[in-house]
Formats: sequence, structure tokens, C-alpha cells
Amino acid sequence: MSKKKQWIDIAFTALTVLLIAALAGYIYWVVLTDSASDRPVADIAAEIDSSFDGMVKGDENTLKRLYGVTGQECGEYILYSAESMMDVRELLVVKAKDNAALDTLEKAVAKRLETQKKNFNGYGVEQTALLDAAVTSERGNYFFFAVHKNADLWQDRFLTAIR
Amino acid sequence: MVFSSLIFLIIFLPVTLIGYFVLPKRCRNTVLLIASLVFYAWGEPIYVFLMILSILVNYVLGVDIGRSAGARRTVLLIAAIIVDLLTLGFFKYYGFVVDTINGIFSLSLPVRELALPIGISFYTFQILSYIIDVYRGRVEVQKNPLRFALYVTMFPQLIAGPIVRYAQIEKELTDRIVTPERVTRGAEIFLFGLAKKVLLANTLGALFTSVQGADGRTALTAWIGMTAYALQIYFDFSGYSDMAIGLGHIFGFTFPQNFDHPYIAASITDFWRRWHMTLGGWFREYVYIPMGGNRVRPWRHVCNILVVWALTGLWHGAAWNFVLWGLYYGVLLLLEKYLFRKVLDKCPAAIRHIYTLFFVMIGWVLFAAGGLSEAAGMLADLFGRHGLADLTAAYALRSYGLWIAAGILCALPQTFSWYRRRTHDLPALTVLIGAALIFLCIASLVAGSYNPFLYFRF
Amino acid sequence: MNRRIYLYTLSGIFAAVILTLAVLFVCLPDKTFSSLENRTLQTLPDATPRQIADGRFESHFETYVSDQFPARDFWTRVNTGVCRLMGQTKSNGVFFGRGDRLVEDFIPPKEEQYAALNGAIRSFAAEHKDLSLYACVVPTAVSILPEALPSLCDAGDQNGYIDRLQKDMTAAGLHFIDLRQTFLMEKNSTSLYYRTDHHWTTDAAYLAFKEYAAAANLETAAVYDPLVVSRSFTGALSAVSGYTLPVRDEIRVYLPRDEGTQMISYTGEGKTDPTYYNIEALETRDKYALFLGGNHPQILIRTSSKSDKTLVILKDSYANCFIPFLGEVYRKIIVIDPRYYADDLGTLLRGQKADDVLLLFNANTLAKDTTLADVLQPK
Repeated sequence: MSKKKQWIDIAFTALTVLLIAALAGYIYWVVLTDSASDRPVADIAAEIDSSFDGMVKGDENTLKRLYGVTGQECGEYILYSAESMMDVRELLVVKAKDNAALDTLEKAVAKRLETQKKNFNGYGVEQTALLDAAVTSERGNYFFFAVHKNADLWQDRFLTAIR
Repeated sequence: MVFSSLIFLIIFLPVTLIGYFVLPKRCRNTVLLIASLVFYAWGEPIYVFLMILSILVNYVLGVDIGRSAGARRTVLLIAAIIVDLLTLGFFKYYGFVVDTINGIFSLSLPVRELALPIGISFYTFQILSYIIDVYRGRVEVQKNPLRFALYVTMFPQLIAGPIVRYAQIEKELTDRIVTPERVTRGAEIFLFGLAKKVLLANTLGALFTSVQGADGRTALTAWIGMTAYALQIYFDFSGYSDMAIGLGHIFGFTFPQNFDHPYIAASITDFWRRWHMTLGGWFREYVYIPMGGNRVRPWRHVCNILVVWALTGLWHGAAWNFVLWGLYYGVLLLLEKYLFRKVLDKCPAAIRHIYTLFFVMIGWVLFAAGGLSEAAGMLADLFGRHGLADLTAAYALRSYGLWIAAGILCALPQTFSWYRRRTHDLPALTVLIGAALIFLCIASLVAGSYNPFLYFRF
Repeated sequence: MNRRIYLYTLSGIFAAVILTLAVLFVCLPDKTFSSLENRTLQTLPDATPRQIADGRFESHFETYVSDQFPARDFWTRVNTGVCRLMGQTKSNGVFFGRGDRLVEDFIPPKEEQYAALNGAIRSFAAEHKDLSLYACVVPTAVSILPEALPSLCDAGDQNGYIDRLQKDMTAAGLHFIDLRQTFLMEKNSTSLYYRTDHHWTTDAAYLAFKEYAAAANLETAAVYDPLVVSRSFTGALSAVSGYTLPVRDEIRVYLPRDEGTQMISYTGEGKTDPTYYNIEALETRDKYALFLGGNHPQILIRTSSKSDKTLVILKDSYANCFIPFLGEVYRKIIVIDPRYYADDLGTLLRGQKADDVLLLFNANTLAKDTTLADVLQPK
């Protein structure tokens, strides 16, 4: 086998290994972007919106009333809801304590959204539009749910905050 | 993006067609490649790069195999197969494998919930067909990376097949003829595929869903439901394949046929020569025949068949009921070959057709059920667990009877031959029918957001 | 030769249709609201890198193409027409009935929902033995007008549900008002239900009021003159199902000959009105909102009635055209919609010194409702 051929063999092998490494690296990166950095929920909420006009901060009772879950079973959370029952705006950010909590939250929020949509269907056109555009998102062990005209923007800020 | 969507029909397709036909011929491959990448990225903005990296890896390996000899060739082939199958396996089967291990060893290994890249089963198999055929010397190495990329990503067949072996379109990548005759024929095939998907599959799918949800299904209701499912999955998948083949013709490619009126099959063996033909062909070419096919002792042959069919089932989904479904057919095929053949050949045609349809329907129950207990429940309903018939069944027939009849009619080859003959002697009538289909498809797409594609998990 | 003509013509038509639609789509201005579907339409979405990367932009854009599609309403009607031609008589839970009528199907409640409601009613009745408790579960067209249903249809058993509720509510100590007998007798001489909407007509509400007054031993002497305020009402069932009927509904309002006065305060919204009727609603699509302006969490009504009794009524939208009749027999009426009510009902009952409590719901809504049980449960 000629020297030249040997060199080309090595070049090809090197290139192949590089590309496979890139492929593996890319897969790793995709898997990695599912994780999140550790930050307190209050900080995340502050980065989502500075004032939350027209919304009130919710407590354990609100959490129970809206989603049927407790802070105990879910983890650290921050909740903003509208003052009036005819207003559908909501924001929920939870640092779930485990996978089971994430599952519980997913189901609870899905149920809440369904009930709200049923309540306002045919009556409140703006409310229905906001509910249809609601955003639910998970990253790492964080859970995000928003019903608001800025829901998409808030999701972007949420994802940036926990990067 | 799916073909049966408004965005594809009035935005993506016109733009791509105009680009393809208006720009000079030498740009055509580039136009098609760019369009295909945009098409894929639209549905997978992150995983498009995964596909591109896979293409690069396999391109280099292909070239390397082509210029190497001896042991190095084999090493490269094995490397390619491992990389490709590992990638596919990681996204598609990781959860399944971990769940099974957890189940057997009572562990609690974490399961990552990763999204499955669309079409990964299809394009991985296409890439493998290229690599293996380059190794075997059946095709020449594709030295042009763009042409290779085009082969893998071509949007007509990227997401849902047919699985096109590289050997089948090797020449057309460089040199294809596009005539008005071919383009119009492709348009006709595309239109009929669209109608199958939008008008028949979606409607029958709605019937199936409405029946599935009900409790206490009587036998008639359950059979109506399974008939709807059998027709839905056929029109869904064959409609999509037709759209792919039609688009292929428009761009100058001849894609292989994927379905040949499977429900008129006269045996299970016959059925699988008519259903998802390109998958069967791929497994035969790259797994069954290398394992020895049927030129081995009977017990080896039995093993080969069972392995291939377990894999076929597994390809359809990462769950045990799919493996069971595959083995179900494997066993039936073996029984047909070794036991029933002579008996079956002597039976009258009607018996053969009923026999085939019956076992195919049972097969669909296994396929459609979410798990083994659900399958058992569905089978019990089919055989009268909750009685024979009721008002729900009557209402379902009244509401969907005509659709089911239309579905059965369109599953028969006689219908299309009849139509084809009318295009010769009554062209005005057939143009009218075709035009009506265009309008009905658009109306249905606008009205409904219900547009599922059953083979999309692949 | 003929085949070539066929292929070329068909392809030509296909291409022409697609190109025309594409051009129209790009050129026509975006609409923001669909009155046929009663919802806002998607407009051009933002194309930020993050939204493109996670698929939100793509999905919004596909909705955008669908929502802004040229002649969207025309295509929807074609589709509905074809489905009906092929024998389908139900769309989104609404039957296309015989004799130009849309009828909403009844979906029986899930067992947990029924048990929760039943339990809540029992606890509530036990807690408030000092009050007179009434319940009226209104049957809808699906059980009162079965002849309007399409043939062979398997509508839900609403009668069985009302029977069951009657038995359980009476056992809990509520006085159950069964309207079915009266409605079945009157259905041929009175138009009880709208043809395009799921609500009952004011005429039906009046019949119900007379039954209620009899059950609650209330003296009613008022005489009413029905007045047609709209002849062009197309209701919610039409929007939900996509079926359009050749007929429109009439909305009637019953004006008392002896006009009393009333003050209606929408608690928490800071609004007050001297009349039950929100005339602006007649200019919009949702004309039924004429009655009390639609749904509110809590309404306080004071009337010039000679009586000094107070009623607390828990309701869904069916009660909206029923409430004006109550003005004659109650001095104070508190109207609560459990979907939007968050306070403690017990406190309210004591604070307002309620005499009677009425639960007024239609059977379809009650079977799906989960909020009434929450409100009735003592906290």
C-alpha cells in the first residue's frame, strides 16, 4: 500500500470520526437543552414581567382553587391570577420537585384550561382567544403556564431566565 | 408540514414548482434540495441539523467505502450501520428499552422524554440502502454531496415514504426527463392521493374515533369501527404514498409503488405483497436474504421469518403490541407456507378473501390497541361481549354508511380501472369528477383541523 | 388522445385553482374576526428566532393560512353540505334535526361528577334547613322534541338523567320542579326552544316561572305583553356546528303591563342598570346576551315588589330570560353563576338574609358542570 494511500486513509478516518463526534455532540446538545439552571422562581417571575398589571399574586388557596394541587406536592411556585373571575389572565411558574410533580402539573393545567374554555365558550370571545393562545412549557424541572396577550413573550423570557 | 394541508397546497407547492420549472435545468437539484430542507425544517427546526449531520457522516463513509478494499471496507460498513441504527434507536427506542429493562429488573432508570425526529425511520432506512448497496457494488458511489443529500431529503418521500432504495433512482438523480405528459400524470396521481387522505381517511378516522370512545360497544358497532380503521389506515398511508409518487413524477423521479389494492388479497402472503411494499422489499433485500432467506433448512427459515417480522413490527412502533403484531403475521405466513398452502389453493375465491380479510382485521386490532389489555377488550367487543347490535351502530351506519361504501369501492382495483377507461371515452365526465374532488378536498381542509396521519410516529 | 385532454385539463384546473387561491391569500387583507364561527382569527405571527426554533411560529403560521384562507366561510359551508348529503346529521355535538331545527345532543354525566354534585347538594341542604330550597333542571329540545331528531339517532338519555336528579334532590330535601309535563303539553302551541340556539325561549321561561311560583306558593298577578325585539337571531348551535338554517329565530321579551322599577347591580364590576335588558346586544351576533347582558359572577337586583322576600338563585345562562319574571315576587334577588363565583355561599346567604334558594340549570349544562358542586360545598 502506497504512502499516499495510507495518508488518505487516515484523512478519511479522521474526517469520519470528526463528523460522528459532531453528530454525537449534536445529540448531546439536544438532550442538554432540555435541562435548566437552578434559579429561585421569584427571580424568574421578575424577569418575566416587572409589574403584572391587573393581576394578583396567588397563594396556597388560589393554587388549590385553580388547579387542585398544593405547593407541597409540586414544589416552589409563583402564581399570578386575575382579580375578576371574568378575566382569564394567569401565570404559573413551578420549580417541580420531581417528575411526578411535573406530571401532576401537566394534568392539572390541562384540566384548568379545558374548564376555562368551556366556561367562556360562546360567551367571551376575547377570553376564548386568550385561552386558545395559552402557552404551556417545560424545561428541565421547571413548569410554565401563561394565559395572557404576552404569553409568547413571557415564555421567551422564562426560557432565557433559566438558560 | 404535511401534503394534505393548506399551507403546503397554496404556499409551499406553488413556490417550489415555480422555482423548479422557471429556473434553468441545472438548478433543479439545488431547488429541490433547498425546498426539501425547508420542508423538513418547517416541522423540525432543531432536528433538521441532525439529519444534515447524518447525511454528512454517511456521505463520507460512502465515498470511503467506494475507494477502499478488503477489511477496511467491511469495517466502514459496520461503522455506518452502527452509527445509523444507534441514532435511530436512541430517538425511537430508548424509552422502550429502558421501560422494558425497568420492568424486568425492577429498576428505576430515568427515561428521557425526547421528541422523535419526523421521518427518521424512513430516511435512516434509505441511507442504509445506499451504504449497503455501495458496499455490495450494486451502485456507484455518489461523489456529489448535494446529490446524495437530495436522495435522502427529497421532500416527496422524506416524511412518510415510499422507502426508495438508492439503486431505484440512482440514474434519475443526475439525468431525468420531465415531460408535460409526465407532469400531468403526476398531478392526477397526487390529486387522487389527496382525495384518499382528506375525504376518505379523515372522515373514516372520525368515525373510528367516535366509536372507540364509547363504552359498551356492541359487536356491530365494534366491527363498524374496525372497518373504519382498516379503511382509514389504508387510505391514509396509500393516499400519502400516492401524493409522494405523484410529486415524484412531477419532478421527474419514478418512485416505486407502495400499495397494490391490499384488501383484495387472497392470502396473508398475498396481502404482504400488496401492503407497504417498499418496507417489505427493504427487509427482504437487506435482512431476510442476507440471513439466508428461504434457502436454508426449515427451522432456520422459521427463525429468519420470525426475526424479520418482529423487526417489521418494531419498525412500526416502540411498543410490545407492535412486536406482537409483527410476529402475528410472521406466524400466519409460516402457517400458510408450511401448512395451509395446498388447502388454501383449493378453496373458492370467496373463502380465500374472507379468510384474509378476517385475519387482517384482527391484525389491525392488535395494531390500533394501546396495549395488550386494550386489544383483548376490543376483541371481546368484536365477538359480542356487549351484545350484537344497538342504536349506536344503526346511527353510525346511517351517518357514515355512504362513506364506508365509498371507501370499500375505492379499495377495489375495478373502480380505478373503470375510471381509467372513462378517461378515454368520457373525458369530460372524468374531468368533472376530478375537478369536484379538488373542490371537496379544499373545502374539507378548510373546515377541519382534524387531519391526523397514522404513520407519523415513524 | 382523450386521456391526454383529460390529464391536461385536470392539471390545468388544479394549477389554476391553487394559484388563484395563493394569489388571493397574499393579496386580500387579513380578517380579525369570524362571525360565522364567533371567534377571533389568527393574524400574521411574529417570527422571532426562538419561536421559529421551538415550532410555535410554524404552528401559528399554519393556523394563519387556514384562518385567512380566501372565502373561508364558503368552503366551510360546502363541506358541511357535502357531509349532510353523505348522511351525516351531527356536527360537533349538534344534530341537524328535522323541520329546520338544530338540537344539541345530551351527554350523560360521568359518575364522579354526578356523585360530587349529589354529595354537595346533600351537604348544602343539611347545612341550610332553615331556607326553602328549590331546584329546576330544565329539559332541552333533545328530550322534549324527539320528533325533531334525525332518524335512528342515538341521542343521550336526558329523561333518565332528570329522573335520577329528581329522586336524589327530593331525597336531599329540595323541592324539585319538573317542567317536562307542562312542556310536552305546550310544545305544539308554543315555541319552546330556539331553532338555532341551545337556549329556551322567553315563552318557555314564562311557563317555567308559573310552575315555580306555584311550587313556591308565590302570588303572581302580573300580566305580560310579549314584544318581538329581533327576528334575525342566529344562535350558538349554528356557530358550533357550522350548519346554517334557512330560518332565523325571533327573540321575544315579556313586558309587564304594570311596569315596576328595579335596580340591577353587577357586583364587582361596578355597573348598575335600571333594566334587565341590554339593548346593545341586539346589534351583535350574540343576541341572547340581551338578557342581563350575558353572564356575570354575581348580580344584585332590588325591585319594587310588594313582597319582602329575598331569593338567591344559582344558575346557568338559561335563567337569564327567567329572572325578569321574578321581579314581581321578590324584593331582592341575588344571582350567582357558579362558574365565576369564588366567595363563600354560606356567608352570602346569611348576610343577605335569604328566604328561598333556587337552582336553575338546563340538563345539558348541569351534566357537564363541575363548578356548582364546588360552590355548594360548605367551606
